[in-house]
Amino acid sequence: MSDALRITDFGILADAVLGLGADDRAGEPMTAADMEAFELAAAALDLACESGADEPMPDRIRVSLDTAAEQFAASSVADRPEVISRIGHWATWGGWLTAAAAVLVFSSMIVRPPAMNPTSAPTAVLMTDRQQDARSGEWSDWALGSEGPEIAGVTGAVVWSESAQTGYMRFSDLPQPAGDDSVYQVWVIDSRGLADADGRSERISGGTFTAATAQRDPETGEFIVPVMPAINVQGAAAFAVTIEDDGGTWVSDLSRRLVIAELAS
Amino acid sequence: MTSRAGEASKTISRSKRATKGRSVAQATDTILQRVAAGEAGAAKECLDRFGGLVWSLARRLSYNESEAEDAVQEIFLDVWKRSGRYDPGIASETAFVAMIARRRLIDRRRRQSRRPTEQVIPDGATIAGVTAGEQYERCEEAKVAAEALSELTEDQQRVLKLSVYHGLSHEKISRATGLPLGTVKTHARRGLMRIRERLANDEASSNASSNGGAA
Repeated sequence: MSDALRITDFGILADAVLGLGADDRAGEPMTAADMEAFELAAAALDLACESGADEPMPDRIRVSLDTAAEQFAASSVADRPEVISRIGHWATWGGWLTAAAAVLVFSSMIVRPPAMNPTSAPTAVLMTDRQQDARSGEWSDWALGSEGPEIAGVTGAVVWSESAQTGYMRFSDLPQPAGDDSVYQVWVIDSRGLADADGRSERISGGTFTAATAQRDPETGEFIVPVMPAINVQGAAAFAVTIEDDGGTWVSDLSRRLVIAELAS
Repeated sequence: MTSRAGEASKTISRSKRATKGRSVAQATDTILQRVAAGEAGAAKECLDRFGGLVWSLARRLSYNESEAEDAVQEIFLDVWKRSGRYDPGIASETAFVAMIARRRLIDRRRRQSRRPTEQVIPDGATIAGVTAGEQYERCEEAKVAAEALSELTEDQQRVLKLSVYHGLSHEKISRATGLPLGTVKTHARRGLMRIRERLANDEASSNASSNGGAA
């Protein structure tokens, strides 16, 4: 990362850490090292202000993290993706995904919603279809109340294996959504999320993709996209796709929806 | 502001170079560097050591427990992945983990900012004077920050604590304290810069002592 980056490149952190608005920071240079130094100062202050003992982590979270820790340790150090600044681009996933597929680490490594690796689609299909617990669901337009999806009529299916923590999606079409920087983002929803009428809770990002990064089935012409959840998925009940700005988001406002599919039990 | 920040950054860069050799020699025993090296059990040891810290941060800076649960998992994944970048010559492991945790939590809050939320102004937050907690001795940076905080004006202390510790927006702080928004921003900015400079000076002093002793 270049030290010549200007503060506008750190808009999110500058606002959050320093409270600088756009008017305050226009044109003023700030390097990545500057920003990290302020973050460290804020962290030190936070620790200084803590007056009580740390709360113990709940057992259910610890169990989940222990699993993630084992998966992390099992992965090859050389194959771990380079972590790029949170302000910069997404981590790269090519060699990582291929090498990690056999040990099923989709859920353990992701820092940001990753871009899909188009070369991994056949692997995802192969890995998922051979799993005994693989379940599938057909896409339907994702409407919320009276509001329909941004793009209607996309069909296809999703296949998911909980034990393998992997899956893939098929789409009849993936038209370019409005906005040059828009991407599709897949969400894994558990039973709690399905119980929520508008699906606003309990979603886990499965990564971002575009038609350009998806593979095409040579026979059917369908788009094939692997599913890469951001964290370990337990009890997946449905998958859904939204349209987000480039890079994706951890929390979608669901204003731009595409499709949703409930997995057959 | 920027030039002072830049000077502070140069200071930390110089001290990083000065301690590089020492850091490498010391790194073999840190949990994070053992995580980065792929040592079996190191990632779980990281959970043992920092689980309570991260969970406490997540509970405090998340809108609800469900958000905190999601956040704490993201944070540890981030910590493990970034473990290769940890340099004990720059920060303690505790401060490094807290920094990553806060970064992730701030990011989540900003992304959720469009959600309607009820945020309670913490009891006592509007009264003058803020006393640093009793846990700051868990890392050197917290001790330095507590000292620097005590040297600020009461208004600066109050604003900084509401902003950094309680995670309130400057607008909310302005409403809670009655201070003009511009004053809140100035207090937050200058106060944090002061702490950051004290940390840089402390690090530079430590490095000078270390190098002097070695010579």
